[in-house]
Amino acid sequence: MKTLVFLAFRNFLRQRRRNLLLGSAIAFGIMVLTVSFAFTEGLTDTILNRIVIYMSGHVQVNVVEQGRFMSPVIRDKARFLDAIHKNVDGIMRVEESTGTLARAVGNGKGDYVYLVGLEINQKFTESFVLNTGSYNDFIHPSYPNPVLLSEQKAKGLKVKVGDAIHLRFQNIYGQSNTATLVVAAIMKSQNVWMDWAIFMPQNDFKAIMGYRPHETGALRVLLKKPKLAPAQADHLWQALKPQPAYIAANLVGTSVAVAPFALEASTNHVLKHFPVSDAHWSPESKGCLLSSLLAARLQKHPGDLLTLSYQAKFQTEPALFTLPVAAVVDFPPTLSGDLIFMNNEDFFKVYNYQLPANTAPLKQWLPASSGEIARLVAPEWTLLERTHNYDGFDKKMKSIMKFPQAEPITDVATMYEVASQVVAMEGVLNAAALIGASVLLFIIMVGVLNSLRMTIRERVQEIGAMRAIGIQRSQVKWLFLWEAFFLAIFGWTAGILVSAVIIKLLMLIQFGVDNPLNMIMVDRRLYFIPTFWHAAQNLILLLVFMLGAAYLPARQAANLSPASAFGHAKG
Amino acid sequence: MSLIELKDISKEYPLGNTSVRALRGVSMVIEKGAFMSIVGPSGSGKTTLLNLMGCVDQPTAGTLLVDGQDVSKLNDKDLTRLRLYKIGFIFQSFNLIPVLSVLENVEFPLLLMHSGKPSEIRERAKTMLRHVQMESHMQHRPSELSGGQRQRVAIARALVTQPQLVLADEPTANLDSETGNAILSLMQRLNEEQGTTFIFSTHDPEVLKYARNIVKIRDGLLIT
Repeated sequence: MKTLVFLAFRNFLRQRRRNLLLGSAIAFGIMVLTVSFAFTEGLTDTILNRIVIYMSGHVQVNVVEQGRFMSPVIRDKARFLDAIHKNVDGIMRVEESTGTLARAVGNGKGDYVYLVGLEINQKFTESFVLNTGSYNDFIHPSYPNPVLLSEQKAKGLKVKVGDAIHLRFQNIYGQSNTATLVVAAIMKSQNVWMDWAIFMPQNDFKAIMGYRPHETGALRVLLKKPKLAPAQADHLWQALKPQPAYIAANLVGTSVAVAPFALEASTNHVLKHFPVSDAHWSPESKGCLLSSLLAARLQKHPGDLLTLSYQAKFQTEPALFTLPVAAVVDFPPTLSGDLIFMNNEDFFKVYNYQLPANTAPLKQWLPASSGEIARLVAPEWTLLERTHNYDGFDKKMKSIMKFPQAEPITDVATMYEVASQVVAMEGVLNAAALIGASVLLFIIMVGVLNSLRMTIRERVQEIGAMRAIGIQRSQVKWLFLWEAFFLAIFGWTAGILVSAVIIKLLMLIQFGVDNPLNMIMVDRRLYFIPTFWHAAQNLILLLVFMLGAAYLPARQAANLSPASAFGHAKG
Repeated sequence: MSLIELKDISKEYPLGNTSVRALRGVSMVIEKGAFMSIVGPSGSGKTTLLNLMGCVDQPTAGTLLVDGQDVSKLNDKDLTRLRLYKIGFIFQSFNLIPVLSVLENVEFPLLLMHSGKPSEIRERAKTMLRHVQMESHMQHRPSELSGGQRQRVAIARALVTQPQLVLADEPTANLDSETGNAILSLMQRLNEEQGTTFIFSTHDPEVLKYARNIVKIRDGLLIT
């Protein structure tokens, strides 16, 4: 084999002009492939690590109350974080995603902005390149509400470092609010997504939005392997299946549980188990449904007010709320008489504002034997079905927006749904690069095939002589395959070197700010990440094409008769 | 003791819809150590006969025994091995491998045979080149040599494996008469010194004076 490899290498060097020409064609194909793959890799990095991270993370958990989709709020941050850490593998980090749409007014100029609460961590300084101002003024400000914005946005609002921006927005309770922000620093424009945003420290943002320490907006999970996001989101979704909602409360010394009727519980269905005599009563009616046993013990009648207290989860003092009695009815014998039902909307106003500690389980009042009645109780949140693409996600959100409900809506989504159109760009570009390069390589393959045929025709006598001397057919075949291999290696190496130069040059070009490709650029420059894996993949692809192209001529050469060394049909 | 035995050998080549009979029932026996010339005009069947004796082609009919072995019973792999170990070839147009040096060309069959360590192979090749007085051109490429020098290298390559039989197809056809004579003298010397059987084809009467045995062929038939 060593002899053959050596001979093949010498043969490869022998036809310099032809091999130089073919090698250049191969180098061109490899250059196209390498630059394309480096670009899509760069694009993927931009999408996954610069755009999607700010849009949705790789996996995102959102909780929305009363249809306020622009201001998501997770009331029990610790519980959701715990679920994430227990059910998602390969977490790089979990970030709180807080942001809201607002109207900003600078020096006589106004614009809509997306105000983003920014977690100040190690990654923070890596994500921005400042033009003016300093990180220190942003992190340790001597004034309230420091903000960081892009030079584009600063230009739009006509503000510079130290200027004020007046902001109008809705807080998490849906109330209109205003705030004054101070420009701490102006950063270089990196992409259109970041140009649209104004960043402020997350704690300041949460304060103006009305979040309490145990609350946050959405949670973004960043994974070490972003492509595993759908499977991890499915695990998390399973773990976030809701329990029935209730408040374990105290009513004049009696331990009671207050539970909301589920939205889908129809009046007829409820009346089947709770025969309320008032014809105007429905599960949506204000007030509560009291058992005749409890009503008798407390001497309460319809129209009377109940004052309940309960231990809140995030507050040391007991939480209080009052509830009018809407109806008194005999409860089914399987139920505790100390269970109080009320309408969904009013229940969740109390419940969401002060989550109960609920040290006693609901089954104390609503035993498992209660069967169908258990389904009349609303869950602590509605967990939306998992979707796996943008269309499904869009359909789901539209249907939910049509019917806003009082109980919180929890959704687990991935970048493949939320930012699927952006993510899909990567796949499309990769496929286009591969198809283009395959066509190119196919053309080169035809060239190699013809060139080798010509070579074989020229070397008929030489091959015949080698066969006569004692070289085996298979060795002749390998001789030509090795020659094709050397040509491939030469073309590939040249292609890689040329790609490196081209990538370097392309990365030097800075495009204008209005360029539509800005979205996928970094610092208004095309961004490439050449990887060893792609280079190896290109080499494998090339070798497959080259050896495929060389195989037939090599076999043809192997089948030449040793008699051809003596010339044809000679006497 | 016979080295090659041909029994009623015929060879036909297809030519369009018809065929050409290159050999018509040739029978002969060639003893070991022979220095034999096959003589005949162009198209008489000399090369075909050499091809068959060198096992690079198969007869259409008849039996060919090389060193007692019926070659029709051997497959391509065995025939190739037989050529490598028992037969050396010297071609009219030398057929040296142009990308290899003189030394590498002579080493080539030994490397195919895996016959010993690389240093031993190199030494054997050098010794052979010394025999043909080409040791001073060992690092040259064939294109840098004259016709006579190339043929000497071809002889060295044919003999380095110490074959029982060397077949030479018009070895002097591309050489001037002086060089041709020198080559034939060299072959004669090697035949005498090493006992190698030499069979060469020619249509040059000048060459015949070197041959101990002459076989004349015309229209595919032996005439003496």
